[in-house]
Amino acid sequence: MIQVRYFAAAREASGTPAEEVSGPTTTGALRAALSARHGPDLGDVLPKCALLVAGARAATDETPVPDGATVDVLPPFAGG
Amino acid sequence: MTDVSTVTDTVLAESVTRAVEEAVAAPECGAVVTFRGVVRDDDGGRAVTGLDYEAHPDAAAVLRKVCQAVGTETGLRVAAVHRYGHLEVGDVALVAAASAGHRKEAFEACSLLVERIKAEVPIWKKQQFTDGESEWVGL
Repeated sequence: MIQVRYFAAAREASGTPAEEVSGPTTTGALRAALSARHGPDLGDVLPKCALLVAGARAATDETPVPDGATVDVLPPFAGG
Repeated sequence: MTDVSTVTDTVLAESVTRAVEEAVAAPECGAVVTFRGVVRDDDGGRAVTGLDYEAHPDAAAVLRKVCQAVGTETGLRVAAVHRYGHLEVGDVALVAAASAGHRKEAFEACSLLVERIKAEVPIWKKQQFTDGESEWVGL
């Protein structure tokens, strides 16, 4: 399984701070699966989010997501 | 020099600003520039009552890395503390400081540090408006 953690606007849109999805997969397929699971609220936010796979920012939709990995869904940063 | 740099949910009082400034001070530094980011009562014409900041569990580590990177790139001392949690108008959200021999380099390093913190540290904020609505900033 893959552990998905949602932050800020992504957590609000998904309605959960974290959940498990089946793996392995790719970042593109994971985005599609999460959008399908949570509907348009997350679907609007997710394209603006970066995915952090096991601590590294995924550069493309083809980035592998191994089974057991933690994926963070990160909306655009807004500190300061 | 960057030991003081962190994120915290406690109020950024004057003592925190002093600690950040002292972390960058040095006998050869004739210029210490400090930036304070403060919650504003307005965003694009809408009245704001407060901001809710959220920090990723790695935010403190990333903030320290950013301070180290800016310090290495500029060859200067820099430090910063970022707050999270609920802040009211007028509350300090960020204290960032840089020092140099002379003011120009210190101003530039402090500005660079703030830009890099905003771009790279995983922190988010939600604006609360007076009409009861709220909105995540940057989405």
